[in-house]
Amino acid sequence: MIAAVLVLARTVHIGSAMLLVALPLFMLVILQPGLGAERGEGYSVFCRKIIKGLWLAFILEALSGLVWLWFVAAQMSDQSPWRILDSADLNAVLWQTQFGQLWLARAAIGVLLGVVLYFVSRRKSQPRPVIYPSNWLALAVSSILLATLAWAGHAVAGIHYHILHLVADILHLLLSSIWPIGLIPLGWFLWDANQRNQVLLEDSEIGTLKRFSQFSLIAVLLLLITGFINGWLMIGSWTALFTTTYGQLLLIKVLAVMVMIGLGAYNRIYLLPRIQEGRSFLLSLRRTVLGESFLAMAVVLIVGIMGTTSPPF
Amino acid sequence: MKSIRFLLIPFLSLAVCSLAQAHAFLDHADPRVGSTVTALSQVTVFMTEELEGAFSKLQVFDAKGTEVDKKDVKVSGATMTVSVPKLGAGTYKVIWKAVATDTHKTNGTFTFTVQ
Repeated sequence: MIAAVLVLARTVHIGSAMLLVALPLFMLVILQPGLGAERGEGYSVFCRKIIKGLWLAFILEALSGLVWLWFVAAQMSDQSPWRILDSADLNAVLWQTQFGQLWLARAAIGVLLGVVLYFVSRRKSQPRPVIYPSNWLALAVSSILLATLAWAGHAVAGIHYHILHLVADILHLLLSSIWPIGLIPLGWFLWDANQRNQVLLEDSEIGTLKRFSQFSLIAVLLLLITGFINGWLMIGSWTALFTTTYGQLLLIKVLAVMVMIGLGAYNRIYLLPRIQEGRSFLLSLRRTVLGESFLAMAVVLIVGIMGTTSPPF
Repeated sequence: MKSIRFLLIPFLSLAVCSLAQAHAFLDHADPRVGSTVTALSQVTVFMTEELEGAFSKLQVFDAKGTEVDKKDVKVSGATMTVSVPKLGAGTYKVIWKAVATDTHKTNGTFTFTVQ
């Protein structure tokens, strides 16, 4: 039962921490350059929705973080989750372990993010979100919060290539917010355009899609480097990829990622150049991006499961 | 350029495992697992991961199952040490419980013999 709850808590926590970066990143970097003052209205409404999404991700991140701490404490001290609440071991986990101290530091960063989000959401209208420093501060603080997750992983326990592994993990976490987790706000953006009964996308919106495509391609290339380092440090051999539970989980993930990249290539090569030719292309694009978004969430779930499985190397 | 994406698939899939966590396993011990020694003042285990001192344990038992170590476990990095008094001839069992800094827990046993 502890393992199942930990998988769920880890999945929700990692996913929501990535969304906390992906949402402001999409609003400020992917969406924003397409925003002229004259077309602020529709975007402003969508930006408000993104900010509401940020609060939802923030709440999920906080709750899943608490559950993660609670069940890890039970696991470390060999006690039931209910017993640990009355035990001095919970204090020991919090104050005497690296994980507990990390969680205290992350809680402080989380409180800071909550304050920043409060100032972000106080603004009734977001015609040009890029000009407000609080929006950029939200992106910076949420990026720090996500990056600190690297200290909750294998890199911190490893005794070989410690710094290299940590740096690769941090970069990898941040890049994952652009792709594949950035697909979630992109899917939302397309869904929102459809809700507004737009027959075709405007030039600025197509610009947003192209910008996302370019950013995701760069992210994928950089993920190649950090991923190769992580794979090298975690797997160690091709045999282990096929003969261990960890390796087999990884193979399932390979399949999910292959499908996602196939869909991404179809979007980029076939749908995007035809997007202004008819509504059916827009609807197809929306469907494939939504499909990719669900696959991105499935990949995070697999990461959550792999986190409780021992890697072979 | 688009085709490059397909070439990246295996690497990408490896990449997403960045937050996976390992477990601390016994790398080697002093005295060595299954070895015979003439005298020793402490037992040390060298693990594959860094350990949490507050929750990791190392105990030494004689053939009757009595704990003979001095219960003064010291943890430093991936190493765990416990002192023992002068041990008589016989076989001793070492029980270790390791909690890695990534929170995962493992345990195991091994024996050594004093001549």
